[in-house]
Amino acid sequence: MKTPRDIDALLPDNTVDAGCAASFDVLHSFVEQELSGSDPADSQPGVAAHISSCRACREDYRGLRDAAALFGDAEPLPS
Amino acid sequence: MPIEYRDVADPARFGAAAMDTTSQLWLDGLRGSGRDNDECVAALHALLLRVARHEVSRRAGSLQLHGPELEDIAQQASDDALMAIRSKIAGFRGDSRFTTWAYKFVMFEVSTKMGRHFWRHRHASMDADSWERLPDRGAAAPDQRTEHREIFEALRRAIDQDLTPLQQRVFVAVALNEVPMDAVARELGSNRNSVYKVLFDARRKLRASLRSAGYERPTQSSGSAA
Repeated sequence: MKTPRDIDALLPDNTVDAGCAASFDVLHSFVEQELSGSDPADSQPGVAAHISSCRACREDYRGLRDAAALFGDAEPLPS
Repeated sequence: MPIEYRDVADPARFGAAAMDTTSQLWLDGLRGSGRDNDECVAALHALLLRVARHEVSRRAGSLQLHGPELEDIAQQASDDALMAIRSKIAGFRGDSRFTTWAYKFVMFEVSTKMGRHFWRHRHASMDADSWERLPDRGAAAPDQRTEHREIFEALRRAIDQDLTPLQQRVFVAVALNEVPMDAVARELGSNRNSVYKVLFDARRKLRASLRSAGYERPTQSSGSAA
């Protein structure tokens, strides 16, 4: 019997998952790859899988992607 | 294929890249001394605060936080992110712009501090028998309801019988009640990574239990995170 998608969402089945700490270590390069137009899931599948399964890290990823796009080119000029 | 929780994001795989000019300016300023260093640190702090304010505003709706509390979180997050960046700057290898690497610490601090604020405004439970309501989540077409109810009953039994008390607590809080992982970590005196590991193991057990009961997943999860 097939399970409904509600259970699919509750129990995501990622066979490769980098986990929170390892994903955080490379999240900046993951985001920059995406902003440059390439698919970071190709080179960092464990991070992509983790972000799809971990709501907390997904929020960090979305926030970092926004911040890098909006404020990424700031220079160290005196404030 | 056995499901494993493994680190595939080995930072060593991503070696140092050619540094862009702006990133090099940041590094030179932060590693320098005297007035140049002071000015660079001040500029970075101002930038981190701007990013933190943007981020707390982006997340504010989910936690029902308002003006002064948001500003307080942004200030604390930018202060602590600056400390983290200065202490970890030797670890920046140039595999992104310096600012993207630095903003990562703002995200971490905002998440942590919003997790602390969660319990002040919300009364979501970590222990209630939320799986008693599970069959209601499976509201489907009338001809599927009985079938779905059976599956959710099987899931409910698996939560009750196959998970450890800690796994039950984390699964109910994070997966069913949507309590932020950082709030759960704070409640348990743990950290996000450890809580996620508990959640990961709980999900694996529950999937195995459902498979044993004759249920299989309809599709494989995609890696899309956007």
